[in-house]
Amino acid sequence: MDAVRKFCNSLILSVELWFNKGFSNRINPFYHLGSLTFFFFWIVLVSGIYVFIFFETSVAGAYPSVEYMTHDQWWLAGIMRSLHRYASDAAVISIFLHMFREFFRDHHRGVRWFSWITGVPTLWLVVILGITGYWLVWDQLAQYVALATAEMVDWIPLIPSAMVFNFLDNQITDRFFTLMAFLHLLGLPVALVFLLWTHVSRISQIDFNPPRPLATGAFLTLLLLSLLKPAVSHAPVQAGHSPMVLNLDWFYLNIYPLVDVLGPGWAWSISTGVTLLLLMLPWLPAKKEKPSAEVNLEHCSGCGQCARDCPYGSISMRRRTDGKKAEFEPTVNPTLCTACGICSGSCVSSNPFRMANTTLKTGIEMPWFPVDTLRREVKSRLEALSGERRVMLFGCEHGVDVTTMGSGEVAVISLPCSGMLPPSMIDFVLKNGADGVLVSGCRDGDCYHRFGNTWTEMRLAGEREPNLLKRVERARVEEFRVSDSAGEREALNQRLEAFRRSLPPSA
Amino acid sequence: MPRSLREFGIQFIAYAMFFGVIFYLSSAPAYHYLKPDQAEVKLAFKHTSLREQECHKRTDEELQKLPPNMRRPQDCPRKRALIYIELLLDDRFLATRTFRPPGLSQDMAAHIYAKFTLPAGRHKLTVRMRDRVRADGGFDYVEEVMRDWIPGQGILIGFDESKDRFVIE
Repeated sequence: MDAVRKFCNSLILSVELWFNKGFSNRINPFYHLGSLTFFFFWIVLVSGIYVFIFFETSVAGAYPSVEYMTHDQWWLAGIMRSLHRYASDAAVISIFLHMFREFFRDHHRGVRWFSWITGVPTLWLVVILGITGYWLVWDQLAQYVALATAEMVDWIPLIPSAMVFNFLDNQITDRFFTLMAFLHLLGLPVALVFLLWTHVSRISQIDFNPPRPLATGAFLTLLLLSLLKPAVSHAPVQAGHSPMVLNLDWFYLNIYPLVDVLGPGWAWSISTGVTLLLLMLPWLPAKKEKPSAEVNLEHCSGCGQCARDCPYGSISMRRRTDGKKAEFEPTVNPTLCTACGICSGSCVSSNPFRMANTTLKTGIEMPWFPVDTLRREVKSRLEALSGERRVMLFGCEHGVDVTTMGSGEVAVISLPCSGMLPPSMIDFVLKNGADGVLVSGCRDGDCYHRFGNTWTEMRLAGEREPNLLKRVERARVEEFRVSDSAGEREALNQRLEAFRRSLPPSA
Repeated sequence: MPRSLREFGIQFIAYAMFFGVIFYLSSAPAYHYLKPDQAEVKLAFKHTSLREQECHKRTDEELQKLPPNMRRPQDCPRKRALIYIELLLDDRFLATRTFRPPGLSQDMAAHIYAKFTLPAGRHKLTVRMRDRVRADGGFDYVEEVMRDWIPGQGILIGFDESKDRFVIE
């Protein structure tokens, strides 16, 4: 499974690189699939509300009311109907790309299992929501979908088999139709909102809105689609007639031909089998997380920066328990901590100039890679350097693997995330023999730990605590953010060489 | 906004792909539920078959062997017979189906539902059903109808319990 994932990851990195060239890293749609899905849901909601104004929830009235929207008021209700359908289809595309991407990028395991697991029932809910939408038109397609759905429900042994009889020979009643309308308009959307809230509940600082240029481009594309190919109904339901040719929406209705060809038993087996496989993926194989961050209260000022910087909301602030003057202290929830080390980099006490002659203890740090160990490694690597332009290269485990890039003039240290690097460590490195520091993170816009790149960039620019001190000569500090694909590894090598050549001679 | 021709080209291709995938898959490829020369038959009704074994009157000896509160004069095994249905088109087999009565003791009414296709045109459609154990393999209900079946026609076969006969609509 790991080999397949790694292979697919390299493929998706290549595709995303191509998109970066066209869209830039900031608005690459692959980096905003979740928020794009929310955006499509907004379009579905707004267009759905408008369509509902003209929609009649009765067996006899539904079809004519949809036809009125499509043909008589095509210029607004018709476009809204088309937008409703095509944004729903677009949501399926973004959901599936989002799911595949999270799997290939290894974002689905470890403490991130919760978001993955809660995403799986969301798929079912979205599909059921789409299917009930097609029922409401009550055309020949709706009748086909209703019958095939009833066949599937009747196959379940525990349910007394009678549902299919409701749809034979147009025996459906207004009451049943009202129930479907309720499900599509209220019941399922409310359940979906609840599931989506659960889905994102373990992630902090979520951006629900895609970048404006991307949202505009996606909306205009759907609008153009609605104008060029307006959504239309099939023929109305006719007693004594079976549909011959159906123009299925394959994003939502793909299960039904399977029911016809293989039978409802196989359709259930395949869909539940795929669902179970998806639910098991976080443990195929399980990911062993490193020990979570630990708080050392005697060195913590209670500033709360670690809680603000944590990408997973695993740190919260509570009332001080050690009687110190500070009001709050951080507490770490180990079930949410991915051990990225960003909190360690955000702590003002992670300053290597402190406690120079003893073991450096900081307010919050990773027990398996404390800042004291980082300081000792930095010192030993620097001592081994020689030459005129000595560079310390800090790498990120999820970007280019820098461990093989060391040389006589280049020392390397790999961190779990570039955000783990305290800015004061850069000052320390430059004061202890290096001529320059290059920090290499994940590809721009695609940080494995979400905010590692952003926080590092802001800290070095003096826009976020803890800042890189102004006394540090900025020309001696460089950032470069690339993924571990072959082409970009070479790009890092070239950037490293160019940076070394650009360094001013040390005093 | 794209800043160069290359950016414009890549964005154009990306949006065109997005457009194209939805344009096509939202209604195509067309699904041919029935071929142009086919009609569809649906069997759909609820039916209770006869008991698999006849009730028999218990003898005094049999009654004495039972606990006092269970001494009912008749012994009626609950299990009901399988329902066997055949469809013939112009006296040739079109399809057969067997339905098991539901319930733990298989004693409830079965919901009969099955669908088949048949060629359009003038044909004799025969439906026959056996709902009890019969040694001769015969049928208890038979209905025949000769009609011009048109392509796409939906033929519904029900069963009128009050008249004990099939209804072909």
